[in-house]
Amino acid sequence: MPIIYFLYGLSFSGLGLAALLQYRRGSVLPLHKQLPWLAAFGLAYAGVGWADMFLVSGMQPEVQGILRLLRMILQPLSGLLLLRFGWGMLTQMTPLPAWTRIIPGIITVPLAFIVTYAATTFVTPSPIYIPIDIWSRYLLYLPGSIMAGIGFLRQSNDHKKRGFQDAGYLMMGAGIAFLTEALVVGLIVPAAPYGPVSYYNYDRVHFDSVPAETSESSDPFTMIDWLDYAHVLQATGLPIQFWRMLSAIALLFFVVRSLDVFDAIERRRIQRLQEERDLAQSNARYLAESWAEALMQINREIAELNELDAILFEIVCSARKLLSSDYVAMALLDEKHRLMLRCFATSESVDASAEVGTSIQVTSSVILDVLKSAKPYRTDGTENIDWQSELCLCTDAKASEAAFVPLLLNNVSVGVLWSTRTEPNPYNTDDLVGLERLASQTVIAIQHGLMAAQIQSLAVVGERARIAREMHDGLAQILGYMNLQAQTLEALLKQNKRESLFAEIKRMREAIQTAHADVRENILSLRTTLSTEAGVASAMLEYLDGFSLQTGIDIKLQNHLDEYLGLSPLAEVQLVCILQEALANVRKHARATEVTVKLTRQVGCAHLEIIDNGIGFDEQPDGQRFGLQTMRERAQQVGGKLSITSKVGQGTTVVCVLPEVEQGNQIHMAPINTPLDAATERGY
Amino acid sequence: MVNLREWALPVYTIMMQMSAGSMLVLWVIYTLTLRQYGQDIASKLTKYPILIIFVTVATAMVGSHYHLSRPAFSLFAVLNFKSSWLSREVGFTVLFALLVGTLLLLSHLRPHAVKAQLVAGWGAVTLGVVTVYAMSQVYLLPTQIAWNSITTPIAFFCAMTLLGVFGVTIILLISLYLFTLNKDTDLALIRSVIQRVLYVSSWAATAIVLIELGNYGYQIMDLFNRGETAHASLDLLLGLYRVLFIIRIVMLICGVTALAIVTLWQRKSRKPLVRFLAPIYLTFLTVLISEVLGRFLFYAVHVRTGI
Repeated sequence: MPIIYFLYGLSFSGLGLAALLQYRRGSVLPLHKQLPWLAAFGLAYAGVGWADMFLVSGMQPEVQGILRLLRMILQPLSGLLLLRFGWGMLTQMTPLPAWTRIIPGIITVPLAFIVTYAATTFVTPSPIYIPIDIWSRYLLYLPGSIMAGIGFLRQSNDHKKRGFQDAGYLMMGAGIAFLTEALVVGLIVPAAPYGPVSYYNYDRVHFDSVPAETSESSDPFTMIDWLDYAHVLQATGLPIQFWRMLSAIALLFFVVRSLDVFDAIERRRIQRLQEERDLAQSNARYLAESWAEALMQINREIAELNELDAILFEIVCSARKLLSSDYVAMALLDEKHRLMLRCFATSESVDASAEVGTSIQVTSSVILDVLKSAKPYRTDGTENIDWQSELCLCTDAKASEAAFVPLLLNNVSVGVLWSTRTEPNPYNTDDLVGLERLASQTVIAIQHGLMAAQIQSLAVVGERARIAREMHDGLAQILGYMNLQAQTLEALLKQNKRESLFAEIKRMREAIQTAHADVRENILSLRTTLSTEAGVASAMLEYLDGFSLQTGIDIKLQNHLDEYLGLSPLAEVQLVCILQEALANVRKHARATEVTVKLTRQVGCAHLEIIDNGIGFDEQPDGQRFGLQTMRERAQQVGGKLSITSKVGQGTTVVCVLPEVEQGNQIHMAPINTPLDAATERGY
Repeated sequence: MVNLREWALPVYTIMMQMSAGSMLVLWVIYTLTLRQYGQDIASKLTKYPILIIFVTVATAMVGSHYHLSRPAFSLFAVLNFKSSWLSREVGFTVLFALLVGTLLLLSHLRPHAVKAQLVAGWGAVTLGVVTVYAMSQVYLLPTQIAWNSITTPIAFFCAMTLLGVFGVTIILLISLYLFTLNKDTDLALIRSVIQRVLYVSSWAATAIVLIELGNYGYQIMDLFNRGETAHASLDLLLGLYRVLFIIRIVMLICGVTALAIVTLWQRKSRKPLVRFLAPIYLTFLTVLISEVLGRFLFYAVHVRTGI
């Protein structure tokens, strides 16, 4: 028996130490908070087991008295600690259903009777340590073990659901071990003449003390026959202390092994944190790339001088997509300083109303405030929004959260860009910064649009001057010459000089043919336009076909380009003009029958060579030939160069080299698949 | 009294007194609430308590049978209704249980039959009080000096009202918790009524405890002055059962003081009332243990005189 008690105490001390060591390692698990109670219980109850060991070993009466006193203190203390541990396991690990809070109220009455009954047993003649032992077991160990057992079983289910199958099974084992403890430690008590104690006690479970008439007892608390421990005792010959020891060893094994769950969960937690970090990094990278790509796309459209409305629409679509918004809109001030809705984009979930397409003035006070204050603003989920229906213009949607940024042109508000969500998901600071970037792009697009309009106006003026010059140099001179010739013809007719008359008429016809050719060439030049879609090579080919047809000069185009030229739109115009000027010179002066036009790209530059087989000329200083000077100026205007080589009888070669735009922007010209899937965008 | 059979009587008397007291306190609350807030609020307040009172009185009746050798013949006791207080106690207990059962049915099946509920409720209250009075008269025996005194009915009625006050308070708090869970539409009104009940209860409980303590003082003086048998009872109370008697008094004072503290704390802190369920459970447990101990001492200190 002392060995049994020794092992019993050893098991609980091991349990207490294991719990203590695990507690000192620290953890974020809720089970960790309960470990001090388990450790204290284990160590205290080990003291009870070892006290029993010395008591049954036969000690001196004085020592026995001290041990018994120690036992009387440790037993209820360990029971209280177990009760606290069980309570924590049951209530503080996984929340109990709300209705369970009324259970204490229901059990108050029976508990009061039991406690009072227990109190009255202390005035019986039996030694005081007997009722202490009995009621420590009934009132503390029994409910404590049951609660701890149920707590471990609930934890077992939780851990299984979270994927810790092994830990789950070990906790189930610990739960069953605690319930077994409740049976063998909490229910079987020292013999005493009251209540259930009088029937189910140590006397009944020690081999030599089973009364013969027990199964026929008429006591109302007699348990049914098969529960009688006498059967087990008769079959095995093992006292209850043996089974308690086995139960304690099982408890030690399962609880200590269950504590491994701390390591497993810690590993899982670290792994999850790493995954979350990786995911956050990936999301941040993707978001940054998306923003960069959208901004590049908008820049490209601005650089290509696309329609302003198309660019603005691209901006609101990008904002809606990047901010996961349901509605994004932009409003600009008109000439009467009214804030008018310019464009908006909505998600699939928002329907646009019939007002789309009409001119809508923005009257929302919050938007006007942003316009006036020229400061961005976002809702943070706490506002009592009474203006939510004013934000999603042309739709029935109601905004739950919104972000607003002003459009600042030279530090003056010219409009507002705003974004809304119908769900209560506030915009953060990063969202507002992103929206501000898009607002900056909007302002740049507006500035570019204004500049393009000015350039176009200047181009029209320049083209008119050129046409006037052409008419003055060509058609007007010929018409003047024709006037003189008409006077000459009249004089010759009066003098009746027929031969001279016919010679003048022939010269007049040649002059008219020349004028006709000039006019047709000018018309051809004016008709030749550059379109973004076709490109400069296509425009040249079209012009050369027309020129060849008009003049009869055989023209060969050698286009060595395998993709679009990387020229700015202005350089493309100048290149075509230089070609036209050169070919006009060929027609007028070179008397060539064949012209070769070569278009190549070399080291970031576009090369245009016009080679004719005409009569050529002696090269003179540049300033002496006005047409050549014009061509050179055109090339220099866009940062290029123009050179002419010619010899009498060996034709002329004009070489024009124009630089392409910078490498960073060059990629803009390539067709790009935009990341914003237009199919998912619903814009108006 | 270590034999569990002997505990059937304390169980019965305590639970019966608690039922009668709870019925009394509940129906005072019902009547006042009915006048002030109307039938809906009054019915909601009493819905759960009536059920619990019925379960309590039923348990008391079942428990009382365990001290009889032939429980099946218990109802024959009513045959001596005219002459025996015990028969009257049994008869009134049965009638009280039947009336509480009727009230339970009315509150669930005919919640709008206010007059019928009022009549049944006050009838049950009357029967409850009469039962406790009959119960106290049973113990006024000339051979039992310790019992045969005015202190017995006073102690029984004190226990009845004290347990009634605590019982109804705790049941109403549980009801409030259930209403909170169900998100009842009248929650704010119910909460304010229960808050007032808690406040009044703490004052009432304090007054009752003072009466009880005075009653104990009078009982001790009375026993001291009533001869040898009474002295024997007094010796038991202040000798063998001294510790239990001290525990009984201490727990009674602690319980009622704790209730007063919790009430004041709740009023000051303005935290939700349901947050105070656990401390009020504990005060109820303390007072109940004290009352059960008191009943144990009542039975334990009696010493028969004569043959």
